[in-house]
Amino acid sequence: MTAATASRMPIDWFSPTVDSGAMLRWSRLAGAVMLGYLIVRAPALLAAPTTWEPVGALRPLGSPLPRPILAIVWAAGLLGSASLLVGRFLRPASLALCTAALILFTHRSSGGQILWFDVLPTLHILALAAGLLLQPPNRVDARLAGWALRLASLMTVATYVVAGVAKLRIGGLGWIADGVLERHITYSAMRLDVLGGTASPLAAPLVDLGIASAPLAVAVILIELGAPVALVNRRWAMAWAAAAWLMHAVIAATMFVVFHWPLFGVAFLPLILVFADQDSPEARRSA
Amino acid sequence: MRFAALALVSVATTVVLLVPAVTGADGFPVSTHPMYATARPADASFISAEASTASGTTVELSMRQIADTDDPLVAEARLRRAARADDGRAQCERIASRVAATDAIETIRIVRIRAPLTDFVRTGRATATVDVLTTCRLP
Repeated sequence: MTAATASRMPIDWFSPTVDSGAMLRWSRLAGAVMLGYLIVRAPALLAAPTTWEPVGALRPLGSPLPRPILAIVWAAGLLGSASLLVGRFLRPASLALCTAALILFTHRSSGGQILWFDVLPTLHILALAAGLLLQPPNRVDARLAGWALRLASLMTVATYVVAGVAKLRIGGLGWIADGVLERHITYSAMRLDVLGGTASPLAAPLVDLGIASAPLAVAVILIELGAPVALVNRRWAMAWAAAAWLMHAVIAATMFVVFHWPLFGVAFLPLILVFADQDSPEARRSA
Repeated sequence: MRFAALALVSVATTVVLLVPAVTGADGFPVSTHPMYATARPADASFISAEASTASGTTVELSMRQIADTDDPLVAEARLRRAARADDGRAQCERIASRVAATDAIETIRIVRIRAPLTDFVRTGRATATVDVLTTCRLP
């Protein structure tokens, strides 16, 4: 089997093996990005919300968690992500990080504003923890690893599709035709300016060029609703991941809104890894 | 048997994640992901705050001073909520307590800033209309 043939092979849902290092590669990257995020966002994650509108698992709570509890959870998350990064104590590390991510991010989104960029990291850490916790001691079960990476891939695809549907459900076709995206870019720039931040210098040129309206909007809808093509084969997965990454890069450059999980590639790595074993030398030899 | 159960978990998870697309019920971590989905008018209006010195010079405040956060989404939501709750005076005093250590600032103003979006992005605050909602002095 040639590399080109392998890159066109469909995903194998019924024998979900991956090579033994795939799970470790994803957990290392997830640990690294999560470690950086927990450190950089520590002030926000440890702050008591000024309003309390609990969501998700924290809905039963009548008030925010005490700061010492948040600090303990944050520290557990830090240790968990550091352990994943260095590839040690994977099972307890994934449990610690999974618990910390679920509590800290749900807590932060309970302050009156759901922070959507925390959703996919939380889901992926849950999948990662499930894949690691179910592993037998002292060895990697390729089927379990493959299952967790496929679950994470489905999560990525589902969240992008839902985001695309939301744009058309809320904004209708006008979301594409009426320059809604351009207004979001300008709105973000003005919001940053008037609220004491710094607006992106690229916002004005993008508006002047006129590409922030229909062309970019069509691209965004195609990328989001077209996410399932990433499940077709490796070639499509790579192409879709590149397009989605570019979309986030444009968002970051023009709105200064950083979706760290996709921008650092953690969101897309499972999609690439589930096909990687099909393109491996072992797979080619056995074909 | 075990793998069939795991496959079922994958299918169920995917369905649960897709359900908000139909119901429109946003939550965490099962969300509608409505980022940038709402139509926005050509003009925008924000609640913000600014300071002035004893000599009357306007001083721009940082996001941390205005809303005790560095996230613009959170800052916007906090200020709008305070305005809706008619909590402007208390909001003003909270901001004043955060800038108290800053030299020269004497008063804080909660303001509504309105502008056509594209004009604002091209030319800055020159095109904006600023209405003062509340004023308070530093402690």
